[in-house]
Amino acid sequence: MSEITLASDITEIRRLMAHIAEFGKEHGLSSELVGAWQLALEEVVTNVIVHGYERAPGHTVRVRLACQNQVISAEVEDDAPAFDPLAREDPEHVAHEVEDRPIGGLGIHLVKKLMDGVEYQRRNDRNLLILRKHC
Amino acid sequence: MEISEKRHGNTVVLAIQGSLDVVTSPDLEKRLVELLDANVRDIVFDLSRTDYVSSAGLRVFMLVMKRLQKDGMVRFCCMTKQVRQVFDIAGLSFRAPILNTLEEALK
Repeated sequence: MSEITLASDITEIRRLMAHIAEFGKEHGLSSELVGAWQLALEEVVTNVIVHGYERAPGHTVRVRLACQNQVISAEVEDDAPAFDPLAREDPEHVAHEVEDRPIGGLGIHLVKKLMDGVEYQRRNDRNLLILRKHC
Repeated sequence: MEISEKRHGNTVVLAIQGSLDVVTSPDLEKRLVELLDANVRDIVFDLSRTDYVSSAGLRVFMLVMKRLQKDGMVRFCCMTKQVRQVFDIAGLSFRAPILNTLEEALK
């Protein structure tokens, strides 16, 4: 298990990217897989900072990564108001509506496509998003 | 992320090196707005050295595609496999020409 605590500042995404790269190196993950995780977690954490915290300073986002039985999982935890990013409708015909689609929708669309599983939980007044992908 | 810029006639080629993520994308957007305001209507994005594009980067590409939809042209070239995958998932691959080489993009 590898954990990083990020401040509610968008530049913290840099530290997250480096952390994922390091995790990938430790577990011998391919660059494709590391790239997929960086993309998915950038989308999820950006979403929390921009929409959950509305860019207010003084909050944190915790990201825990684990690699077990050929499955990598990540838990993203924050104390923003309850929000399930998966609840919005997934656009089936992405290409046709690309111009007018809200950007948040695009990010979560990428996450769903890149991961094998994504699950939302509200636990102890905190949002928890769990992502899983096979190695 | 670094942007280098070259002109071929009326075409501006923007070669993007590094990551186009939520931190760096605003820099690209700023440069593109300047170019569009300076009446540039033909843009080629050379992505041969772009190793990462997130939705923040895609959003910038979508903005410029929209701005040039009626009276301009946007093309992409030399994408890595990873960047191409993101374009495909986002449905952007159908919205603008994607060429294998810069020479083809400039034809």
